[in-house]
Amino acid sequence: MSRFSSLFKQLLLTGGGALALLGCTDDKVDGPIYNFSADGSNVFVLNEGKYGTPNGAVSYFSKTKKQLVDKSVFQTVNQRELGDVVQSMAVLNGQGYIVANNSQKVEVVNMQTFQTVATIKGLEQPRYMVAVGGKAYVSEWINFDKKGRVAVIDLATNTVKKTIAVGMQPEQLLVANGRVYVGNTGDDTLRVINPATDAVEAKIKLKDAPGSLVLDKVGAIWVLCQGITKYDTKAPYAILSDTPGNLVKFAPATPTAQTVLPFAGHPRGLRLNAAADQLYYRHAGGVYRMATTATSLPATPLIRRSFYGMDIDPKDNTIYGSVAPFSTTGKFIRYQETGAAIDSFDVNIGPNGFVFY
Amino acid sequence: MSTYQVARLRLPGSLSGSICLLSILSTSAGAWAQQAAAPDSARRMAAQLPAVRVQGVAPGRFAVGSRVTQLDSLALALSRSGTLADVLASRTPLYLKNYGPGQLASISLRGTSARHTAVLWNGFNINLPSLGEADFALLPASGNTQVVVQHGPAGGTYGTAAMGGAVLLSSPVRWEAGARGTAQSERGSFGFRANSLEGSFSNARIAVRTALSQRSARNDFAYTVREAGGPVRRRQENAALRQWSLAQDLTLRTGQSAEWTAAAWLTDADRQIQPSTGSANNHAQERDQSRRLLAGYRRTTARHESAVRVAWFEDILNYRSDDVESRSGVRTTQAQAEHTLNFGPTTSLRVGAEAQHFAGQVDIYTVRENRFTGFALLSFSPAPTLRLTANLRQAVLPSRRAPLAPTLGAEWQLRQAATQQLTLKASASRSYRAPTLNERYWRTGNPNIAPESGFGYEAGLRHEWKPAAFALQTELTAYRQRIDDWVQWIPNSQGQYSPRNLRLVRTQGLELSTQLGWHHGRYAAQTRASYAFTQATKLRGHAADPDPAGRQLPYVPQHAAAFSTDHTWRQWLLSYQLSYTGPRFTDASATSFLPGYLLLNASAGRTVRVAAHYSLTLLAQGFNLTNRVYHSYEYRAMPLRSANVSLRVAWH
Repeated sequence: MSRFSSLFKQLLLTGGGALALLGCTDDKVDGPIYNFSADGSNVFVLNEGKYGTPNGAVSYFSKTKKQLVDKSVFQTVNQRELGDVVQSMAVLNGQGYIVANNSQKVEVVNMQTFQTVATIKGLEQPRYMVAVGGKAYVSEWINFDKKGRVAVIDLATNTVKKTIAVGMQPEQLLVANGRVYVGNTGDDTLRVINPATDAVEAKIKLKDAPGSLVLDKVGAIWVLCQGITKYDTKAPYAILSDTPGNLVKFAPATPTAQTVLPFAGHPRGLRLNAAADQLYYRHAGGVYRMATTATSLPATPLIRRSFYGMDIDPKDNTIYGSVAPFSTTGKFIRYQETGAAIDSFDVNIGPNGFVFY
Repeated sequence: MSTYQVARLRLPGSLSGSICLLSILSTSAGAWAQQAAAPDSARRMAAQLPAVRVQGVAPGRFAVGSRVTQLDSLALALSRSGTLADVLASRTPLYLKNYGPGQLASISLRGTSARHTAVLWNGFNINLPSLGEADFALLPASGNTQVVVQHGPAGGTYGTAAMGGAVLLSSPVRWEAGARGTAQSERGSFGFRANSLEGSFSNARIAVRTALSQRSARNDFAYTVREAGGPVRRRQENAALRQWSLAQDLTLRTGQSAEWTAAAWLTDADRQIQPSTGSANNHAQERDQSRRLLAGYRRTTARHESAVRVAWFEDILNYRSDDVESRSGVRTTQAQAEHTLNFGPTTSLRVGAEAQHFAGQVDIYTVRENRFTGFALLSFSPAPTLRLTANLRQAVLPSRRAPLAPTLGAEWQLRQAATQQLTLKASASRSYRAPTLNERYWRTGNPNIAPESGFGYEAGLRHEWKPAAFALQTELTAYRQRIDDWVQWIPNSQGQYSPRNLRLVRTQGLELSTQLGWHHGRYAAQTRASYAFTQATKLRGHAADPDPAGRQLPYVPQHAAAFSTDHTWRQWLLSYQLSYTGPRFTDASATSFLPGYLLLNASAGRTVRVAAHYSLTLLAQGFNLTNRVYHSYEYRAMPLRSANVSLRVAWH
């Protein structure tokens, strides 16, 4: 009882209630609320929010204070909702690009203050973004049953200048060797876009559902193919087909000469440490680590816990794993490089990723 | 992709004592509420029955001790073109989580969720078998003439899902009322258009009622969102709707003791699904069609009463958006048989059984399931001032055993004077909820899920004071309930959402209501005020349950209140409804919340007699008159001030 009313008052007083904004508070604040410097001490946690409601959020965690300072930094600064399904965020030249998947937009913020710079509109189910030169490339699903595309964004005007057709459900992108590689999780291909022409110049066949990809320190591309499970649409919903995941490695110059390491299940979320010589991924209720020089998959996990999102702090290789129940606020847990847990913090609804700044 | 599916999944008494419309109002309000069988008509009905006829035992006789709210006929008459969601939200402190005007409206009775309220039409549960809940926006107010809300668990009396309570819809017969009919047309803001036709006839042997209504709206109301450049005014997209309802009741008496009934209620709604402000418009559209047919036979003698009813329902729910298409159709074939023994005027025993067969195709699964229920209801009055009931119900479900559900109730008239009456009420009930078809058969469903089980009790005091000039009735109820094995959909080891019996939830609270009826000459007024205090918290949960314990459940307002006042003078009517909904948390961690809101609606009208048997009624209604920006569900815009005007021709 008193918990409710005191919380209610507290939220009203601080304006921290995510939805208190709906009750319209028009307070003007003098000067920026935050002044972030790119010293690697800031972690922005991406929270998808509830599907179908624009309550996605970016939570701000200060490594030096060891404190979750703000559960909704965008909302605190800009006094409005961020968007529906905050899928990913890219940082480039002092600006943050937050992809709000089901709001069909990318919110551009000043990374120092988190104040709005622009909103990039005209996207359909955008997922991830990378930048090359003055342009950015955003993968778009468009529709689950249709082929996706990549939008080319002019970063000077924050507008879509062109779209490029790619495969089914394009996910993460990677810039390597002067090209943009796009993984298509609805099929088994990477599309290679040449930023000089903004056209697909090659299609690389891999294994089913290449969803995440990284570039290691010797210039090899590693792609985590998740595999695809298809179910019968009638009871008892037998599995019609099930292709397991694979970790695939190739050199950009020789994309057909692939090293393939097969999984028994469906791995996700390939990441790299700062030195670009250790791979991390989530698989079968755990986090695994593998040296880029290894020739086989590791047998035992580094951390035995299932995460919704996971990333590695490039500064000290601290592992961040998120737990996302969606019905309630999620949290993230930090682990040492050895896999020993350090601490955990409550964030917002559906945390799926981290941006280290 | 699973997010889409999950989104969709979430995207399922003693009446005489609690009568809202007092008989003193019936003369002047009668012009407004004609057609609708007024609660007072229950009393008139008794008077109109041929003297020789033996009257059956009213169903409410077996449900004493618990709180009952009856919507009065005037409220229903003023909302002819609306839905039960509109009427309940504006006139009672019941909370309906509403996703926009005419959009999904799910009820929360005593802090429970929508699937914990049994909605019964003429004694048959009409909750969607797949989702296990009713969308009150799909139930047009014109379909039935009597709406009774039974608060609190009554598993023994009303069967599955009567945990938070039950909403009982029916159209009691008014014998020997002759022929009458009305035609109404209505226009309003945001492209609202509604038309209705009603007709009825009854003599001593036959009673017929037909009610046809249709409504449509563009719902392109304006709302404001904050964007990068500041506040932007937008028109609501994708929220249009078209809806119709046809209700047909027929009752026939043969001989001195037999009665045959047949009823049909067809509802059809074609709705665009209003997106949230700030989310993509995925052009979602939903078609809901329900066809409900019922036939019954009842034979009443001085000591015995036998009744048999059969019903057939078909519920279609087709959903389509840019991303997903889902089609569902479930047919429920069911039968009820009961026999009542009256051991003199003080004791009645009713025993009965019910069988249900579900068959259909719900999205990706095909289902056939049978359920059986047996029950015994006992009503006993050891003294004129004391009424007791003891009910027992056992459901036989195909999966797991349902708990035996007993209900005990008592009403004791502590004081009775010529103009005053003080009654103490108490009841205790075990309740249960059979798993929904989705919970058992969905691809990630759980065939072995256990029925939810609840135990609740309540106590209340009712005071009635009826001097000649006015009538004041006040009731206070305190209740507490625990629901165990509460089902929640959570991700399984493969990350797919699957239902599990996860938690123990306690709801407790207070309900206070008072109503005053007053008349002077040709002026009559009826004023009601009610307040509900509701606490609903998870006490403990399974290790896999991520939601924290000890916090108010999302979308359960702790405070809710309603105030309404209706005045009639000669041929004039003036009515106000004020409702307050307190702050509601929007997530289980109880950190984000929607602010509370106060809504004011008003109606003014005049009836003119134009010929011997004809009268014309012009009515203007205003909604959200204070122009309040509010949200019933997070980020679903609601209209600001709006109005409707209707013209009605009545023949009698």
